[in-house]
Amino acid sequence: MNMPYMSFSLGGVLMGVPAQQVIEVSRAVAVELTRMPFAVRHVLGLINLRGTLAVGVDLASCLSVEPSKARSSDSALPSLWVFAQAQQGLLGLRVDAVSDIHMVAPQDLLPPPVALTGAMRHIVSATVALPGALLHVLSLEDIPLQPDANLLSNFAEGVS
Amino acid sequence: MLAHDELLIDFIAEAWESIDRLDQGVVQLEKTPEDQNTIAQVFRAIHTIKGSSGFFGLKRIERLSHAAETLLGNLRDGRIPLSAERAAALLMFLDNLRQLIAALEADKQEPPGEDQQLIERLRALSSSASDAPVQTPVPSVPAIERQPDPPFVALDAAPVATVAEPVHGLPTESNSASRSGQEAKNHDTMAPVKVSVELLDEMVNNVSELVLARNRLLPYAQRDDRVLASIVASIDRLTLAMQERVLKTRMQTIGQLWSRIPRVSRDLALACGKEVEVVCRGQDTELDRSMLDALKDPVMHVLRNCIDHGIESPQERAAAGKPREGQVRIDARHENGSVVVVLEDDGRGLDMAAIGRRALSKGLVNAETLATLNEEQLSEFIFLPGFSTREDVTEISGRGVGMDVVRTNLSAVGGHIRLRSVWGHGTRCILTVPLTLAIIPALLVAVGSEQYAMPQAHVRELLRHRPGLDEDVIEDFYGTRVLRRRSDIIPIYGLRQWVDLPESLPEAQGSWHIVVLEVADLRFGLWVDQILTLQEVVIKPLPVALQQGSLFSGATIQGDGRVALILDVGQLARRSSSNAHLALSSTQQKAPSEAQEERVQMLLVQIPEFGLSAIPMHFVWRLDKVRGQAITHRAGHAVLAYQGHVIRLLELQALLVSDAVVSDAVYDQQMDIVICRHGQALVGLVVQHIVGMANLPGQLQQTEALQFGLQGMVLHEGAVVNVLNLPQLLHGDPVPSMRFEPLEG
Repeated sequence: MNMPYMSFSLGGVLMGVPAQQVIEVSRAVAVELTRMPFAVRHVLGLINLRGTLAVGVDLASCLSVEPSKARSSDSALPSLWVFAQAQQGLLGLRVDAVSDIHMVAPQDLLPPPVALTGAMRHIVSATVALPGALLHVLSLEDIPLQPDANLLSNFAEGVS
Repeated sequence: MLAHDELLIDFIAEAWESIDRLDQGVVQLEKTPEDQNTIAQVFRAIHTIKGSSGFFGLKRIERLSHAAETLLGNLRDGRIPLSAERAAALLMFLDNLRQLIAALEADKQEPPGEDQQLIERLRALSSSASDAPVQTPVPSVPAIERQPDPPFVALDAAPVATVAEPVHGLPTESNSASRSGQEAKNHDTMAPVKVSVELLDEMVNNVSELVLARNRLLPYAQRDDRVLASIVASIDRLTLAMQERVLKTRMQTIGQLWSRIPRVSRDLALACGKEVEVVCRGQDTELDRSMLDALKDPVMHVLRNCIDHGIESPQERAAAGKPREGQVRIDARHENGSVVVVLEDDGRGLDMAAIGRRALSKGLVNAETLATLNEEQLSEFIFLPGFSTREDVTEISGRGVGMDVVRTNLSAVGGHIRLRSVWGHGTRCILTVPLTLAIIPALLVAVGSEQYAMPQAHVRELLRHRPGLDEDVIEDFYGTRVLRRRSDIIPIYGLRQWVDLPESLPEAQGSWHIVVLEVADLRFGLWVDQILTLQEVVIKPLPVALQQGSLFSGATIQGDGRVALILDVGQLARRSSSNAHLALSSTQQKAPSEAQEERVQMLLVQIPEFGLSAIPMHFVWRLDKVRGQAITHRAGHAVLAYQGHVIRLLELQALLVSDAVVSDAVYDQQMDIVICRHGQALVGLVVQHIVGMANLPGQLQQTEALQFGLQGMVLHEGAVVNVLNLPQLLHGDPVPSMRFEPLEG
């Protein structure tokens, strides 16, 4: 059975998440982020999405890709967020642009290219060869969000 | 079939309730077999289940209940006595019933199978062995037993009455006159309305949002519009009333949980070969159903530990001079917007020495630190994941979930657990959960541009401290900031530190804003930039990924839509002392076992640069003044010949103050020395001067491992006194020790 995937681009890379997990896409003028102390670097903070708390994730920093120049140079342009529900909570992913919905047959989900490195290697669960582009399907569960345990314990010692 | 399904759900819910009541009833009957009232209650409950199951065509349940009912009918009419065997069979019936209902709940239909064996057993027991056996049980059901029809019957006009009552013979009114009166009364009251839990949850959510909307509205009412102000005021009032009532609908009494305890403890006690009496109190204590759920497993786990590990076997107890029957007391009460559950047994308590050994062997602590830990700190170890002492300390090893899970579960709902134990006398577990999860009064504070909330239930005091203007003093006590206030010493932590912001001290003349928090008997101050306001906040859970190891128990959305994190005060308290508790306990002294505050006689001495210090008198052998000339130096040690002993002299100042410069000149004068016993040997401690003796509280105010050689501090006549840890000072002293031999030898 074909499954819909929503694709978006980030730093020139085309990525996708299962469309069923996507709650909404919003270019909120003022998404207020509440800083989460001692969170990992790519956790930007908490977002109030109509009464539910979402984790704002800087996907670019998480995957170590360069966000597109257009956005980083023009800070007046509000960020574009893709809100998706994962087991580990509601996530708000900051992306460059939302592209399309693709219907993908299960047999078209191929193992990700071995050339992927770093966080991409862990988070990309499959790759789909679209005409003219590769779509990397992200596994939202594998985005690391928990603060480093060592950091916390060091911190506890530091305080006492 | 929809109506049928709904009715079935009602039946299942009712059956669960009945089974709990039945458990309780049967266990009660074991103790007081003659209690006609209880027999009647049990009988009625089974009868209702039987009738309803007949209506739904649940054959297995019906047949089983019928057999049990027969047995109970005979019991009630006094034809047979309640033997242990009969009680066991009844309990077994309840267990089977439970399984059947569970299966029914899952599949909406009865699981296939036969219960012939149990039915036969119940039947056989229904007739008295000594009497002429009654082959076919003749159930006798008084007419009044028809009355408590399940409420759902009223919802449906279907042919209930006839179907539900298929079997019974003629009623006997003999001994039920009094009961029928009671029954009639019950029926006068209005039947309660059943509302699904989901609906209640939705309502609570809606009310939560309403509270938020109200909070946003409030600032507008302060503008110059009296009409608006009065409208807002009435909305405010209504919201509050609404919130209280909706939350009340979710309140349940803890008695529901208590009702399961007699059965569980009976089975456990039997399985462990113990004799245990469990006394439950405070069953009317109400709390939110989510909290009740959260308490369920921890309470059962602790109860299991009490019976399995805490209470000794009857022989052991008799040998220890205790009554054969162990006692577990369970109490629930409200305290400051929290529900406190205390489980207390009179068993053997925790073997602290064994815990210590285990911690040592697991490398959790080194021998030196171990010696300085008090019992409360030691008992902390059993909350560590994987701290199983099953091999060598069976007293505390648990089945199923460990104590770490108990603590984690409670923390998840903002609760906590404390444990006190006296070896040989028992263990007391104190579980605390908030009254409700959804909406709590919270104090909002600010650091920098950020706002944080903390549950008001933990806030003891708000202070504005101005250095030099108040009697209170903020001091740096070996790296920990403490506030000395009245007779308290309160450690102070900066909130900025906890939320990863750079520390910024108030200006010299500026005020310190301090929130004094208390949780699980730990008191500490949190120093913030600004104290804002008290507000009802709606707790939103953090996204799952951020929950673990977090300092925050949730977040709340404020009137302006901004998110404020809610501090997990229990976590703060625990981390502030890096797992070793600050024993800044106020409640410890309130605890009955410590009502008599222990006082220890100590010698007060003055040590240069270190201040007033105390040495427990039982170490002290003699006090004397010696002249410098009497001291000789041997291999770099100052040694004194004293009444036929060689006494090594230790300069306390040099030991305690790391960079102290002790001039030789000090030896030229007359010196005060305190001669202490150290094992077989004697050691002379050189002090500036001896101040005197005093009875100081044995309960130290500050028992964190603050500094080498320091056990803690106490207040004496308004001054802080350092209590020296003599074993540590003498044993681990950095000066190589020398052999001590009497001069004559």
